[in-house]
Amino acid sequence: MKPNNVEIKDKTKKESGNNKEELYSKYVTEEEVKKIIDNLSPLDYEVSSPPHTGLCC
Amino acid sequence: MLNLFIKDCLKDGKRYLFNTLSKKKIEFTSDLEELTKKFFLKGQEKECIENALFLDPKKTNFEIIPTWECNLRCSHCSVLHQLVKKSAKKINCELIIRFIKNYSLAYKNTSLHVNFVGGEPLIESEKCCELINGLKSLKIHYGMTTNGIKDCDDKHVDFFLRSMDSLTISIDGTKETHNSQRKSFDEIFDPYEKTVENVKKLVEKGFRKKLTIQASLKDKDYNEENRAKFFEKFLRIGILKENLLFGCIHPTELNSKAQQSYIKMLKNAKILSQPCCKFRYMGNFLIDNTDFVYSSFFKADESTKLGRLDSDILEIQKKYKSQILESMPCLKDKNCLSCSALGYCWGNCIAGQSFFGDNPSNFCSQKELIEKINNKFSKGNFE
Repeated sequence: MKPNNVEIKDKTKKESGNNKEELYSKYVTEEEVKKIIDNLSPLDYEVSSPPHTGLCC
Repeated sequence: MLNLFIKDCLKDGKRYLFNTLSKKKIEFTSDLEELTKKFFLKGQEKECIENALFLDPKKTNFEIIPTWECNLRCSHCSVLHQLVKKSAKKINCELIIRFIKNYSLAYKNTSLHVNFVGGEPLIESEKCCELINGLKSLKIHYGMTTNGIKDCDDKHVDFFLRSMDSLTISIDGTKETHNSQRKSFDEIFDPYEKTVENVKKLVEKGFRKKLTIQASLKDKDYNEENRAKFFEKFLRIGILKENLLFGCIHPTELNSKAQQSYIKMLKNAKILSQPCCKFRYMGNFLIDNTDFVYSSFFKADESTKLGRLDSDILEIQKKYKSQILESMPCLKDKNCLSCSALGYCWGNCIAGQSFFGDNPSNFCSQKELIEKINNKFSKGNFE
């Protein structure tokens, strides 16, 4: 059982602060995340999610 | 007519006629017998269309609804009307297994896909496992779409990890947008946090590369800021970029940029070599606890009912054909029926039906499409 006021952390992860999701550093680095976010193309309004549009296949 | 005249596009210097439905090409000087055999003549349109529509499918999806129960009631759910609080009858795995096995005997070259959807499929995890176990003699691609709320025991998670090829979890953007659309039905305090917690567990269990996170947002929330937050959240957890889908729900509530762009996309000339998924013969089956088989996930009713799970496959085939012939918009549109590009359009995606009704030619860019087809041919690509 987890005691009160004690936060148990996975040693493989690190906090990035500012309410950001903690980074699963064994899968991805801060730099990789930043690079992807910075390079997202302009929002494509034509892309729609299944299953609500039929553009599912 | 359904034929295109091909101009000097082949290395042999011959002139050809190409039928966009049968995808057959024929020398311009062919005799009547040859023209008739390959459906090139006026008066053969109906036969030619049916011949092209009712080929054996390359791929078939069996959408299995383990239950119509769900622990959420989402504002944008496409099957909200089907959901039940408690289901008295379970799916009959034995009948479903027999149906899919019989199908695989009739269509030996068709790739088989079983996707568990719902309702919430994980409410009936045991039934999903039973079905997969019963079908293990067949080569099948397995997937599941879930809201990821329900905790699964380790036994089921391990089994799914071994047997599932993909697992799609619906998370609609940020915590705020998700929880505004996805309301708890089962005493769940915070649907978003609960699902994220389970995503993390699945990642740690080894599901990372098989996981897709899909977001469907209202147009008012469909913006780059929310997309960046959504991407960042799940990239940090380890989800692959290509497995993050961020989309807008259509039709939109506002007359927004998203809606205009969607309509423009529908009008764009796009080469589609096969009909919209709804009209792919023997290509989609919905199976639920009624022991009936339907041809549509979105509308499981009398109009899409194909028969019982133990019906003869010949009856299912007959019913499937008649449903397509009765409901496919391009077959009701005279302009489509005489269009030389029909086999590369098929009346566009059914999602556009709310705009074009039974007249897809009202949303057509025939000239551009024919130009694209000719360009394709000029490179010698006749597929």
